[in-house]
Amino acid sequence: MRLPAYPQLHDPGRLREVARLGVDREVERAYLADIVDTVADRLDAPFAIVTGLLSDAQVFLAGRGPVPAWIAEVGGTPIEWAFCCPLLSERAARTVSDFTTEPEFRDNPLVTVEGIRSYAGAPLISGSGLVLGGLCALDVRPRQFGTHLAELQELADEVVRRIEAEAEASAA
Amino acid sequence: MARIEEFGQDVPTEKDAVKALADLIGPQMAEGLWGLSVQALGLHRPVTAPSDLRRVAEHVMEVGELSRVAGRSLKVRIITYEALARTVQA
Repeated sequence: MRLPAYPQLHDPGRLREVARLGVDREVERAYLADIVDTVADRLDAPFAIVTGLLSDAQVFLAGRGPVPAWIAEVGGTPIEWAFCCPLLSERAARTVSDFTTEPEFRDNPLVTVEGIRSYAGAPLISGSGLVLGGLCALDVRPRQFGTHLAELQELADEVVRRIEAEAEASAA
Repeated sequence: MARIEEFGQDVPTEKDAVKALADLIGPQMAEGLWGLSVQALGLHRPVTAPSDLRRVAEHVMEVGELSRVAGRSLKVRIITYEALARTVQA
């Protein structure tokens, strides 16, 4: 699946960084649990997720919230459902107050079937400057998340520090 | 209950899987890697069952970094289809 708006998805340099840091690996990441808890609590959001953007899918590195069983089983979604893709080009925290009014996402099954309505996300940018994924909060009601973006970015930066430290420890 | 069509996920195919792999490692390498993986698993091309496609994707993941990322992507897409086919109305 090619998303023409996001050529970064298939950038070999970015994907090597994703692989080097083990973002694609199916492993438990307990060291991220307190961060998703903090995001959900501070933003008063039912869902908080750390997501990794691969070439054709997103994978969930950690999360909190009542995720439908079939999504939890998969541990990710096809890339065309990933709300964090715009972070690849914008490289800055962003919000969507109501997905049903956003042309890019209003037909997304996570919106039309699962009922996700609003979003705040910050990019996970590696030390090499490559976007690995995002840290995001999601809600099932339309809402503004505006005042929390700086804090969300700080937490996203902390996620990257922990992922890089874990990768370094694993390689040692 | 939602219908599977609402999720916009078609039945995964070997052709799509090899194409996705080729996007990352090139068409010749993708064909070769896919063919060797199918052979190693004792399967025959074309691989059609989603469960077999998933096994090939997992095998491809063992070869190298880029193929591991591509294989994990394929696996997520295949399991998504399998999970949807099981849990929502056809």
